[in-house]
Amino acid sequence: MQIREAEIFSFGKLKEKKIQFEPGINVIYGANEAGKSTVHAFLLAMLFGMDKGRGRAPVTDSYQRYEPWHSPAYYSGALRFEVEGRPFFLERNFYYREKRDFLRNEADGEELSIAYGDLTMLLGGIHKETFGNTYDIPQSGAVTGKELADSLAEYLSDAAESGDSGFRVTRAVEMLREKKKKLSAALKKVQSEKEQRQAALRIEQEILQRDCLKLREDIAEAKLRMEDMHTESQSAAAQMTDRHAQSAVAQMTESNQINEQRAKNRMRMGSRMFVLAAFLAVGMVLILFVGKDALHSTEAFWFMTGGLGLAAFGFALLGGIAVWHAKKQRIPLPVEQEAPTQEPNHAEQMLAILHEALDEKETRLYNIAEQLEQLSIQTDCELELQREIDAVQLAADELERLAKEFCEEAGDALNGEVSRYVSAITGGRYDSVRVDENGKLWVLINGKEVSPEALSRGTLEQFYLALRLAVGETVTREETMPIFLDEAFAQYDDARLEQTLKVLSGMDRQILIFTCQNREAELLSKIGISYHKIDL
Amino acid sequence: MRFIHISDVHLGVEPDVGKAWSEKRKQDIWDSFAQVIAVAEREKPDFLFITGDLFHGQPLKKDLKEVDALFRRILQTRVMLIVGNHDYLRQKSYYLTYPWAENVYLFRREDADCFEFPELNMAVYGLSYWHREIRERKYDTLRPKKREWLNILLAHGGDERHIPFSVTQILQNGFDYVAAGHIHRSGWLAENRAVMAGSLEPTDCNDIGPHGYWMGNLTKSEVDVHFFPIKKCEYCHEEYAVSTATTEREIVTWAKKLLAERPTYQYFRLTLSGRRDPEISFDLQALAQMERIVDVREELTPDYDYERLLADHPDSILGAYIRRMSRDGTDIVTKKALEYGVNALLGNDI
Repeated sequence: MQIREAEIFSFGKLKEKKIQFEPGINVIYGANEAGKSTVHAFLLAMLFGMDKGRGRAPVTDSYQRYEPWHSPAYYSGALRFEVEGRPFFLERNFYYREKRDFLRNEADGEELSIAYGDLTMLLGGIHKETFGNTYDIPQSGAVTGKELADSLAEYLSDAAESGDSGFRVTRAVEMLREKKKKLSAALKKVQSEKEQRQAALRIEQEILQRDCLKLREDIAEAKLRMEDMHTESQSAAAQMTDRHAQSAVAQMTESNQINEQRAKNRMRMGSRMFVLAAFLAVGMVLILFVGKDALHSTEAFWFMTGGLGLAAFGFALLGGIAVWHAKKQRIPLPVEQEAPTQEPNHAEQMLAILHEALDEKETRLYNIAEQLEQLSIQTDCELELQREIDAVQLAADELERLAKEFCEEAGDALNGEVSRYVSAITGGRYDSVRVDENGKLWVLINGKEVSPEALSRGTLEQFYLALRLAVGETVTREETMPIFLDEAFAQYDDARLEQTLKVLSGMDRQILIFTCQNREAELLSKIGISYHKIDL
Repeated sequence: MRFIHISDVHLGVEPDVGKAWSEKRKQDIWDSFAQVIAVAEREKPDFLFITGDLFHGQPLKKDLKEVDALFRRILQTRVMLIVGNHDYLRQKSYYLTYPWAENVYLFRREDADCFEFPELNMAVYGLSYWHREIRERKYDTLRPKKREWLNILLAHGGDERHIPFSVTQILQNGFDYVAAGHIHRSGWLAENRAVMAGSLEPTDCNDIGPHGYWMGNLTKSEVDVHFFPIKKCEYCHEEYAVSTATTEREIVTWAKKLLAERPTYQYFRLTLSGRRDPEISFDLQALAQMERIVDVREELTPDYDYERLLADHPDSILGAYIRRMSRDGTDIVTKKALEYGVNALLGNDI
């Protein structure tokens, strides 16, 4: 990018001022209060925009600082610049009530939209802050400490992103962690549902176990009593304490009695049927032998005989069925019938009932154990969620690992670059510099790493200039941005300044040196570097 | 000889736990069993073959009482019962001590037994599980004693852990007909010679297709057996082919149409498959909450051309990531991780 012309309509103390810039080194000279810083601020405001801050002190808020004193509504300017040989015209009105901007390709007249990021794209995607931390080298020196450290740390962690089209690793990893949280919550929900069912089953299990224990005790007791009864021939049933068993037995006896009654009834009915059948049979025989002559027609005779015979057969059959039923019903209770009041049988029955109750409960326990076992196995749903969680975790881990690798690589490359600049500026006095993860510089002197703060103020600034140039070169890879140096060389001696100017002239970028001294111009002339001088 | 064959009734199972219809399904399974008994009452076949897993777990006495009461309604039909791996026999099983109706023939041992019916010139072979798993090929070595009779084998199993068997071998050994159970999907194992009855009712969403009982006529020389579906519940797996143009609305419309068009006894597992627009993700909560939808699965891959991404960003972290994750083989977690990572790097929803 090359800035061709700045046209200040009204900005701070400057009004209706046109400044032409050339490629290569531009020295903007002006005495104190001539407006160097204003021009500097104007260029930044044109390139990156400027908003009215709210409630900020005028000193730190550029908007208020450069607001025209007499006509605040007329707070504007224009800029002509080239990007890849194409000329652009940019106009801005900064006045907060009438904020306006306008960008046009002067070659084909195409209008572009700043709001949609066209300007940012022309600047290679570099942001105000990043530019401020690199190529905008301010009056107070190159050392920026924390701010550069932050932007450097960011640069290092996003090393892979800066060069390419902006893959945000940190954000990606954050997204993945967020996703993992969601998936884990879903898995937890599934698991807690399962746990609830498990808990319910365990409670049932516990109750059943207690019941079983009690039943076993009862059985043991019942057995003991039965033995006692055998030896002492005492009534066992009367002493049985288990109410459960007793009522069951009572019920059973009761239903047996009912059955018995029913059987007796059937038996009685059966015998009556048989008697009836016999009468009918006799009637039939009588008719057969006597009635043949007494009756007049043979049809009537056969009809009566047949009818009686059939009826007799029918009653006999019914009687038979009733008796058979009655007998059948008696089958399950032979003992009861023969000796319904005999005590040992009663006790045995009770024992059998207890055993049965125990078996039933044990079967249920068994099923519960199986269900619990089934629940302990991971379901498809759980497995699938777990797989997703593993995948997200793997993705996050791998991305972080790769980012670190990229970061280290970038760090190595950066160290090389910074070292190269330091060596060039210091005339080879220092040539091995390392940037640590906090953006702090370390210099290798006689095999020892030393903090440059231990060196002179000037040298320190030179080191950080080298760092800014190196980082700047990387972050402006998309578009070669101009370098602004605002009274940056106050602490430099002539030799170092000469070296620095040589380095800058070799960078193939537009360089804007704002200065209130003739030193830079003189030195440039002396070493034969052409430059464009602008007198404010 | 006329018979009905059912299997894997799984009385007591609760399908689709957590769904509104779970309780109804539990009852359905009992009802379907009673329905088969009613068919037997009407048709009066000579035999009812029950080839295992009548119960989902160990039956309680009251369960057997219910079942026995039903058997007593078809006293003219011999109920041949083998016990499967779910309700397998134990020393204390009520199966063994229950005073079964006189038409019930229970195979009580884990070694093959045989009930002979000389009046019909036929014999029925079978065994019951005494373990949850039997890996021994107990059926393949079995040979009927009277080759000239009609010999039927009741089998339960057919996978690795539950008596694996070869139908060809069994038929070669001299059996005329194999009535098998255990696998819940029904169908002929050998046309007109061996049938896998399938579960009477599906017990979970994986039991797709029709379910029911088999009924027919069998002689030494002729087979006329057919499948009779019971349409209380049928699980269907339906797939929707997603493309990069698919919208959530389209999917919901499709599902609603499906539910409206298909008979109400069908329940669905919906699967979305295909390639989706990487910048769009579907919210399927609403879909999963719909009536008769058991679950919704997403088998979607974001429509990335990894080769192209790799070519476009060879030196970036994206390129490096794609290279690393595709190099590590094709296990499913890595594959998913590749998708997740690329999605996240490109700033798309994950």
